[in-house]
Amino acid sequence: MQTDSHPILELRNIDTYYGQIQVLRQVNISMPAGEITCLLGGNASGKSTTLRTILGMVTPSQGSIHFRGERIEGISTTELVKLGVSMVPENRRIFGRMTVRENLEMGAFLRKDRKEIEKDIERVLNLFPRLRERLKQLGGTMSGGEQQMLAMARALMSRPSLLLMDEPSMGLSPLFVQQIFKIIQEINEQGTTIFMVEQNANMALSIADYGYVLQTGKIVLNDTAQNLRDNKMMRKAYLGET
Amino acid sequence: MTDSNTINTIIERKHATKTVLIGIYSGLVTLFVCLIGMVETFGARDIIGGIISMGHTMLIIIAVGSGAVAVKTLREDMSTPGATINKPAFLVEIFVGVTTGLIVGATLSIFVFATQLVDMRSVLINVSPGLLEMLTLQQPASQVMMTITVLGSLLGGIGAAIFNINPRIRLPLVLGLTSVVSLGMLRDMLKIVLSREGWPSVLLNFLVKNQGLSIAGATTIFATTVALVIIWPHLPKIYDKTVRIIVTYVPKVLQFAVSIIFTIALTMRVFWFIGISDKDLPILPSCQAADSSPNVDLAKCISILSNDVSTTSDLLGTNLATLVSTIITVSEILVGSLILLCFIFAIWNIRQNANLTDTKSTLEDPNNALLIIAKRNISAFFSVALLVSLPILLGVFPSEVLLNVGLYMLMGFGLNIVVGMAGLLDLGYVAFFAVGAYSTAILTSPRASIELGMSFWAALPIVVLVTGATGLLVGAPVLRMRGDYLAIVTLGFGEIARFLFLSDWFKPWLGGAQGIILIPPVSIGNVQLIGPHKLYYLIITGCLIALFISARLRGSRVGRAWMAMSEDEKVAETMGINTVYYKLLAFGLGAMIASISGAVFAAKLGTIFPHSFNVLVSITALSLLIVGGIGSLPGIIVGALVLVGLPELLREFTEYRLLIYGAILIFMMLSRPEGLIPRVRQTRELDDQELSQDAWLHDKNEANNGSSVTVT
Repeated sequence: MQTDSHPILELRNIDTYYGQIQVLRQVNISMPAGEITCLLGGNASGKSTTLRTILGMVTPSQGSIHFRGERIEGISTTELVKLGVSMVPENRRIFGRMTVRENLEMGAFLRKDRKEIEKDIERVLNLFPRLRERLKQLGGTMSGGEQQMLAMARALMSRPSLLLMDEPSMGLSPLFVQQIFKIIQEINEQGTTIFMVEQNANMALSIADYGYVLQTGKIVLNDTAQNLRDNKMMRKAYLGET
Repeated sequence: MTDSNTINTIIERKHATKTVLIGIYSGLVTLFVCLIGMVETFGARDIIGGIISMGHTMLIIIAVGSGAVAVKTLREDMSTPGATINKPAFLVEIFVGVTTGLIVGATLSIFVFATQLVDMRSVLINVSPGLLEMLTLQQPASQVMMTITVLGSLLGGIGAAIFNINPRIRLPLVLGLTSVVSLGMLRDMLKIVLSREGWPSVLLNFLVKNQGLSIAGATTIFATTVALVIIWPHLPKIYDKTVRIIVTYVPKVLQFAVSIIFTIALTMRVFWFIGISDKDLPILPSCQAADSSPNVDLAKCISILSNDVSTTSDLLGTNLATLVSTIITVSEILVGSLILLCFIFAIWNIRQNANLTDTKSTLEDPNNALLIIAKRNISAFFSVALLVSLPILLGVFPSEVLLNVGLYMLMGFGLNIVVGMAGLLDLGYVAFFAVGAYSTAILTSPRASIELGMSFWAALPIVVLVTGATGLLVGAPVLRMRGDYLAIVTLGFGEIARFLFLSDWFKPWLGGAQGIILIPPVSIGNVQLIGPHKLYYLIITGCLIALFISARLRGSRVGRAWMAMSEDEKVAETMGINTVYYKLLAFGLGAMIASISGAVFAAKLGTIFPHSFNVLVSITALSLLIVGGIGSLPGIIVGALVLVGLPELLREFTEYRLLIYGAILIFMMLSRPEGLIPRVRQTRELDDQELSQDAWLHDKNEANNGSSVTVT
């Protein structure tokens, strides 16, 4: 594993507004290369806005975002994908009218090396063997779990150095969640840095290296995953302990 | 027992109300078409001369249809789970049919009765003596009500009975009647085409009788259709066998030679027809002298030719002038065949791309591969040959119809890029058509303000570029809009464009309401393409090019990007697709294709007015996409033929054009929402995957249950 002291992506003192409403307040997040970082928080805490800010869909009014040391706030999503950031959107959002194979090829849209793309399709199919049986099936006809797998496989097709995931466990059966998280770990072990936004704190902390807790737009807690799991307040608020 | 009995009685009671409702609806539809004057207008045209008119046919179709619909609904209700009988008894069905027909007949007879009591004409102007004469069937007032009611129930009964005929007999019967009715409706067109030189006049006299088809003609048409439908399933086999024999036994060189000769003959004929060359079929030189008609009797030709073989050889051997003209002919042939070969290859390519996945397995067998390629070549060749010879066979007026179909088809291809591929609903597409027409006019007309007086061909690239830029201009402000909002804004843009062309502000340049006149016709060399039968070739070339571009785009990277964008714009962005670029590209390309259509339109009319570019043009272009099936290329062709071609052929329809459009669109949305010829992938893949999908789910559920036990 790389032992890069620099974080691959870093948010410094980010303030984001939707019109007059401030959603993020002085958010600082750093994603060390090769690690799994997770962002926890309840509904309307600003998790998705953080992701949207990183992706350039909203511009922060203050603060800076650094990718490998360079400032990237305000650049378009397309540019960010070119830099090597990939996204697994909330609710899967695969292309329902395209086949599984076409979905995967869409993931490699910016790449032009056909042979390498074929190799990568092989690679992600090995990671998600179930997709191999359904290569010619339309994405929209698959079950939720399979669609989640497809969304992840598609995101990997651009060979990202950083993978952003928005609630990978949402709407999946417990068994599937376990499976998905195992694969996330596997992806991470193959060298991809992962930043995950989750509500399922228990699952997320079981595989993450470091965690941030977001509450009404503020980071209220950040520590290693191990420490967060032991944290009293954390256990009360998110891990369902009384 | 008692349970199923009560279920049945409930269904029957429910169904009784449904039957009556269907009857009442059909009766109201009948009244409606009578009151708006459709029946009377259509009554002026006979299907079979002196026996039955189109208006009557319409009423008959409604009555029979009501019976059929009622029985169909009954069957659907009966086959719902829980009912013991799946198929209602024959007599019950007939009864249902008769009931609906009776209601339709009764509604009409009450209407007729009421017209005799009160004069409705002051309010409903279409209740004319002509209509009443049609409805009363020239019978005394006392019997009319009885007759209409009985006729209605009879027809309803027939509608029900149709369902009980063996489908093997039903299909030819229905199609035979349909072909008689449609040919009867197209009687005028038939007359125009058949009275041209070259078609035997016997056929005309036999088929057509002053107002409609002759009885003998109708019978023949019916019999021919029935025979065709019966042998239809065997045709592919026969075709297959013939092609196989040709491929295996006829040497390649001969095949090639025959196709070259065909191509040459065809090219020469088209050149002669357009007027580029004054020689028709150089192979038969004496025929040309004998008769200058393109459809000269082949037998006559051969007889003349056999009489003076010696003259022919003289012509080639000794006469120097003939030698020179032969050389010219040969060069013409070369150019023409090159153009044709390009078409053939283009079409062949498209077909190959479309069928690649299906034929991959069969291609492994070399014999089969040869057969498939041969079949493709033959069908491509014949479709091109048919396309090219249509105006020669049909004459000027049908070519005018085809030209209009072509103009809309071209627009359809352009709009398909914007709506079908990129998923941007554009209701102001007419603006680009108008910009194309106006820029052509300004660049070519000597009367235009700038007096450039360019030729059509010199102007065309500029027109395309200018309109493409307009596309970008319109596209840029609406980049962030989607769906309904985009539709409304583009609708506004379309109207703005028309008002700008109409405005006094631009009058010095665009002519205001007077438009621009004296647009010169398109010319190739010294030949001017005046008249629809010549412009047809221009528009068909445009359509083929647009078809080729669209087919190529669909499988390409750009097509993929558009598809992803139309499905989910935000996610498409996270794939690295620059949505701004691709949206503008779609708008620009769509505008460019529309501009070619507009340019041909301007050259065809010679004069353009702002009023030609109203919102109906956009609506028609969009409707033909919807009717054909959004995103489907063959669908565009069929949609243009149905929505543009048919109204042109049936003059009576023009008044009710929008009504019929609306009815067709509603009907399509209800029964075939994916269009007449839907895109292949949408139906195929959804159907055969669902089963395996469910099977897997059941599996998974069991596994889930098992494991959840161990977890807790």
